Amino acid sequence: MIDLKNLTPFQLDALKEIGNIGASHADTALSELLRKKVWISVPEAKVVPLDEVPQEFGGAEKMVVGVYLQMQGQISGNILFFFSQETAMTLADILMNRPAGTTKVLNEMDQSAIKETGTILAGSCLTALSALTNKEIIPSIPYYAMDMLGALVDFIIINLSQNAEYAMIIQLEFSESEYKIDGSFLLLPDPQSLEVILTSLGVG
Amino acid sequence: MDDPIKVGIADLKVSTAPNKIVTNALGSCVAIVLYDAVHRVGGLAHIMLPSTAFSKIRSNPAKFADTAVPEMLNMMKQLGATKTTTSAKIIGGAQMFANVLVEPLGNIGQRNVLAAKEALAKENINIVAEDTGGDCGKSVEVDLENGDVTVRSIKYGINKL
Repeated sequence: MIDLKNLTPFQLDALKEIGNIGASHADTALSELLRKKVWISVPEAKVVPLDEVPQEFGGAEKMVVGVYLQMQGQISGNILFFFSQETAMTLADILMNRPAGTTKVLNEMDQSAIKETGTILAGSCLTALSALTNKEIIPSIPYYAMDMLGALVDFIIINLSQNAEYAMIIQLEFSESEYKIDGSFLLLPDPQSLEVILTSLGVG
Repeated sequence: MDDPIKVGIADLKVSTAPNKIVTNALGSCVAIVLYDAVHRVGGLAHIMLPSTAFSKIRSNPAKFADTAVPEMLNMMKQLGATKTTTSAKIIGGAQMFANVLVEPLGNIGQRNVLAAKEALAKENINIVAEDTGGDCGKSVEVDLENGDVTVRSIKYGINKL
């Protein structure tokens, strides 16, 4: 099994490149969906001790809305897309064609629309990952929850903790200036799949 | 009074009155709280997995229900606690995203709760209160003055155990 602590800068750069290509796909998809120019930051690929994952993204008690998907197939792992409640309300306004500031509570339709955004983002990134590695990857259906970030991610940490002490995370940050939307998109491959990814990229 | 003692993920702490112990944002993880009301000694473990059989990395006893309970009892003993006057409260073990089952663990929250109960039964420790399952995150504060546990969640506000 690959030792996450010893990933080389070269390997991390290769992983970042997945983020770069994923980001350019996601950028287009999200801008089309929201009919706004969405900015996606330069992706990061980082290795974080499992117990510090919530801290890395703003703290365990930070209130967020999250969409979770599983990666399945030849590459497996976790995808988490999360943002503040304010961003979730704004996203709902835009997606449901309501005037800005209308949404005060996220009803089931809003939640479905937000989940769909997660599916589109995940799809863009997985298409990039699949093309780069030549592996088949299937996203699960999206799951929605609103709670403390630490509580939302702990089952992902638990799953990774069966085989690893660290998580390799590819992170994209996106924002839109007019409506002040911002959020984070995380890709956490399983340790076994990380090895598959690195080998397929020729940096195993 | 000093700041409350913080317990992270896969971590455990013990202390004495009048201190407080806190842990934040439990999802599928479980907090096992032990308190000896006579000697006013207590502890909190924030476990991730039912037992050492579930992970290749086993060095940290606070990570597993089956190893955290004896470890905590041992540490409490050194502070003057006795098993016969110690009782337990358990919190957490939720399923945050409804119906997500990540194989091979399945509903890991539920399995963690069951494992915590088994580990406590094995040591003959009574569970006097629990706030487990459901689909919401919880933060916990234990007051070692009296063993009171305060559970905070967005859905249900404050629940005293």
